[in-house]
Amino acid sequence: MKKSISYSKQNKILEIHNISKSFGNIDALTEASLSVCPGEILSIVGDNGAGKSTLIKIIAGVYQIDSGSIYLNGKTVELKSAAHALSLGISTVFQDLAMVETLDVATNMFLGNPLKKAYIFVDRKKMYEKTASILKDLGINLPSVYAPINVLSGGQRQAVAVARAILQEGQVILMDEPTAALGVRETNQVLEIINQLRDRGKSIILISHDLEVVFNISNKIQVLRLGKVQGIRNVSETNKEEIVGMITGAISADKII
Amino acid sequence: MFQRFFNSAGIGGPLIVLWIILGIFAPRFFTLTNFGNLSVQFAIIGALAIGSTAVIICKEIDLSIGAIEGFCAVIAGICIVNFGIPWPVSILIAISSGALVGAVNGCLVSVVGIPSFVVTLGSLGIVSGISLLITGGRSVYGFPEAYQWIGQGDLFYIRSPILFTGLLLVFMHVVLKNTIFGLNIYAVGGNENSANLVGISSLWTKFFSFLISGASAGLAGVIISSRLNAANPTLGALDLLDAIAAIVIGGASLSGGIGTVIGTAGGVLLIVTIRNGLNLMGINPFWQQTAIGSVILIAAIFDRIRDKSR
Repeated sequence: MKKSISYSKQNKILEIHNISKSFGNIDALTEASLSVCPGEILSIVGDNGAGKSTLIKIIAGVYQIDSGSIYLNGKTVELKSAAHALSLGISTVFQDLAMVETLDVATNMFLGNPLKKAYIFVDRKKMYEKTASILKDLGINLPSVYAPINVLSGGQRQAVAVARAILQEGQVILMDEPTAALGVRETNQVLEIINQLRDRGKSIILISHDLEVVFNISNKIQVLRLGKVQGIRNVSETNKEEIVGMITGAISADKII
Repeated sequence: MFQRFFNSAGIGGPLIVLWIILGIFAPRFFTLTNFGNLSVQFAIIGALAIGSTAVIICKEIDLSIGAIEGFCAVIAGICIVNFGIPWPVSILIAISSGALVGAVNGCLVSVVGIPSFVVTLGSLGIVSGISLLITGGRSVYGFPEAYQWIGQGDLFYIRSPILFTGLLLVFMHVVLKNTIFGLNIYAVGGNENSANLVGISSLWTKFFSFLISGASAGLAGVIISSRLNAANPTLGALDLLDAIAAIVIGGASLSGGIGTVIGTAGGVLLIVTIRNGLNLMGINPFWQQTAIGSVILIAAIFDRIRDKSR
């Protein structure tokens, strides 16, 4: 059965239409759709195996879709790799952060995208300066931009990962469980940064298990269940009971609205 | 404190202690002749170890460097002595052959995805077999004077092989420290998954690391054949152990992502000093093997301690 969902008529940065993805015999995603506007935080929730991570990895360019289409600024695009998605303005804060623990903060901020001198040389000085200034802008306190990542706490690492997404100046920022391993104070710090990003007009797609966080920060919540879109709600027009019901399937999937 | 002591800079202490001990117990240690010998030994093991440091930082290992050294010595010998090819061209052919073996290693590791331990163990066998086959197991000798200068000559009181290994050291230091490629080596070794996610090609990074390792082993082969004025197919078999030991002693981590060629150079100096000192003190060569083996194990234990204290 085909499901479709009506969207508001705002100008959308990213729009995904009826995408499907399977791994062998397992259908991870079936005709899922999604869209996000500038200055909007969209949370994706669902049980384990609902397809959240698959969906985000598709948008990040890590997985390629079997069918369906992806539009960026109204133009259809094919996301070939994470680096390609990044070059199109889609930054990702991966669940495992995609950091190299042995390298220092500044080098990690520019990982895969270093500042260059004469094509083949690394411009370390500029990387340290730029990192220091962006961390200061965001109010992130670290021991030093020269410190290797493995001496930082979980919250500090998460902050660096988020700061990297900001540095990459993407229009769309994907975050996979950005508060999963964090304490209360660190969670608030990361949420504060995410709010700042929304205020700057970025589009943010967030995966989280933590409904507290989701309700605290999102504009819209989209529920996935068993690889399909179960429904989408404005935060102001729903409550936790309804969302939990949709996650567990107690409330059946939305029909064409 | 503990941590700092075991870091790559910690090599200076043991080295000074060792030199003082040798100064007391081996009177011939502090002589010009002996320092000449020491520097030639340093140049040969150094070319192997410095060239292979990038592979270790990539969290891989190249066990074929010793075999490549012997192979390239033989190639240079046959080109010059048997085919009469001019010696500069022969050197190019020899080093390119080393690079080619390195490239094949790199392909099998990064494209086919076989663990480097297995790949280079295989190529060690193949390459040393080929060396024996093309020479019939005999030495090739009778190099021209100009060629002998590479291993035996000197320039302003500096032994010439040191010049070549010194150039390699400077080159690799700049590559690792200042280039994008060098940064990618550290990233791939530190966390290959993350590196791939952000668009760094671990495939090409590993491929070129193995290529450099092979080419440098080729340089070692050229130096040793020139030094001995003979190319023996079994040359270099023992040097593998010394080179890998030197890299680990020099602070490169077998868990990847950490290491410098300056540290490796220090490790090489320590290893060749131990060998040289044991020789001077007239200690049985069989014990020397045991001593170097112990040093490798001690270095590996320090490597673990370093990892844990992180």
